[in-house]
Amino acid sequence: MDFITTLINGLSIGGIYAMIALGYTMVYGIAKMLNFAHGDIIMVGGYTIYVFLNMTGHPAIAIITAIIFCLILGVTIEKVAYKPLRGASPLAVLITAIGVSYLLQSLAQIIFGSAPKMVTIFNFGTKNIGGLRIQISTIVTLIATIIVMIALSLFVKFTKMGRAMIATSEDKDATQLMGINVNGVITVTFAIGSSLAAIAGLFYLMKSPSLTNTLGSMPGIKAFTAAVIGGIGSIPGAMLGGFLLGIVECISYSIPVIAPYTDAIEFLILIVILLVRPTGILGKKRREKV
Amino acid sequence: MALLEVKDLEVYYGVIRALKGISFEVNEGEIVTLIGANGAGKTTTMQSVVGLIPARAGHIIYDGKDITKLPCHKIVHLGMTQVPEGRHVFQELTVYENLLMGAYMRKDGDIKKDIKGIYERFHRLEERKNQIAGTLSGGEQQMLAMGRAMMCKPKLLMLDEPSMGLSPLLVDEVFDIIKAFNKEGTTVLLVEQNAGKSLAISDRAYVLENGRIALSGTGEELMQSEEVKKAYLGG
Repeated sequence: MDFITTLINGLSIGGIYAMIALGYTMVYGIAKMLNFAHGDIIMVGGYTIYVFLNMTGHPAIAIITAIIFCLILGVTIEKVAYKPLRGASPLAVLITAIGVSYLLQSLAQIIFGSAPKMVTIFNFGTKNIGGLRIQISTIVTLIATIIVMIALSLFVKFTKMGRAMIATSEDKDATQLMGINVNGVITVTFAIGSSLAAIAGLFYLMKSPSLTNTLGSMPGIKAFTAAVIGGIGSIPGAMLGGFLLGIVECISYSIPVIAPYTDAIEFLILIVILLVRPTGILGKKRREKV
Repeated sequence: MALLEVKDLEVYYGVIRALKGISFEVNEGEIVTLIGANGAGKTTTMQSVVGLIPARAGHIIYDGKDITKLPCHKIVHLGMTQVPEGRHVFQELTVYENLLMGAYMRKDGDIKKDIKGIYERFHRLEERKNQIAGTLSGGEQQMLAMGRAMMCKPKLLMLDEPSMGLSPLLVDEVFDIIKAFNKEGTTVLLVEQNAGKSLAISDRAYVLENGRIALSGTGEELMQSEEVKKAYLGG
């Protein structure tokens, strides 16, 4: 029975990782860059929720404001910091992304200080379901992430913009020859990725309500690991990698002997998968044109 | 008046001058071909006209409008598109979705009807409409790339090496299709290494050598030209 609880917890934290990983993987697939500031969008989402929750007292208003704010922030970062570097060396873009990450963390520290803020968004408590003691927030997280992922998959598969995203990730020149503004597609990608990060921030705070300016670092790195394990650039890969990593994490935590080494175990899995399948579990080998 | 007019176009890759000031024009309703050896600048010319490679100097005038500095997607909106060298179909999308991508910027209600029209011309595409394009053969991908471009309803269709890597039978089919598109009112700018076949269907042609126009004339004239015969027609 304990194992089932662990599994549900794993799926729930995995869902959060998956949602963040989607932002990494979509941006990588479409803009061909690693947006290392993505994790910090989670933190910004957290602080936005904190501020608006204190101001209005309505969780719904706080959450919606956080999503909109992160969306605008993500799009602005892309326009101001990354777009001028399109065509520049990947290293320059990577360093810029790391710079943006530090900028966001430092701004948060200047504005809110370095003492952790406790944020209680919802008070769901726990429930006994068939003899299992499960936190309601865990179930809510799991259901919400699954809904978001289904919605995103449907969007990519069945809308014009979704197809344009697949086309852009595959072949920018051919996409432009269809009359599609590739920069517009990249903007939409950042908008979606950043909104998902805000939602992930909400669920992450529900799990660990202590808010600091480095809140996004660990889940950001874990989600990036998940995206690479699943195959960076692949949307189903990010989902699979996220859930996989979440389950491994919770199982590892539940075994006292190895619990302290949980993070190491997760990154070890990354190394092993990269050795066995360098493109990740669902990553495709791309035919490079010479 | 010329539908497309290229004046003294110069293109650089870094410090290398790939196009050294070329001029040519395409009139409405024509089939115009650029022939030339590997590295002569044919693909560079095509990509520069459609805005994928920036021009360093010169002008590209389409339909009376200077498009030299426009980004590719805006040029496509003006009514020209290109079947790129190497086909570049969207490998992860199905045949049907590829055709839909071709109609991306269209807002009229004839898209379904036009896809049917493409299927009637290319029966193989209909048989494989739900197949992922990456699994098609080279010939089928060429048909799909051409069908996709026609879904844009271009006034000017540019084709870069459409016969490359195809069997002789398919090469004939490709040239028949280009002729048919042209008869239906599409102006065609063609780049080819298969000089014989392309000159035969061309109203006019230009010979590109080392980034310059070396010769020009009607398709007929160039086919008779000794220089062309020796260099490109294997005679």
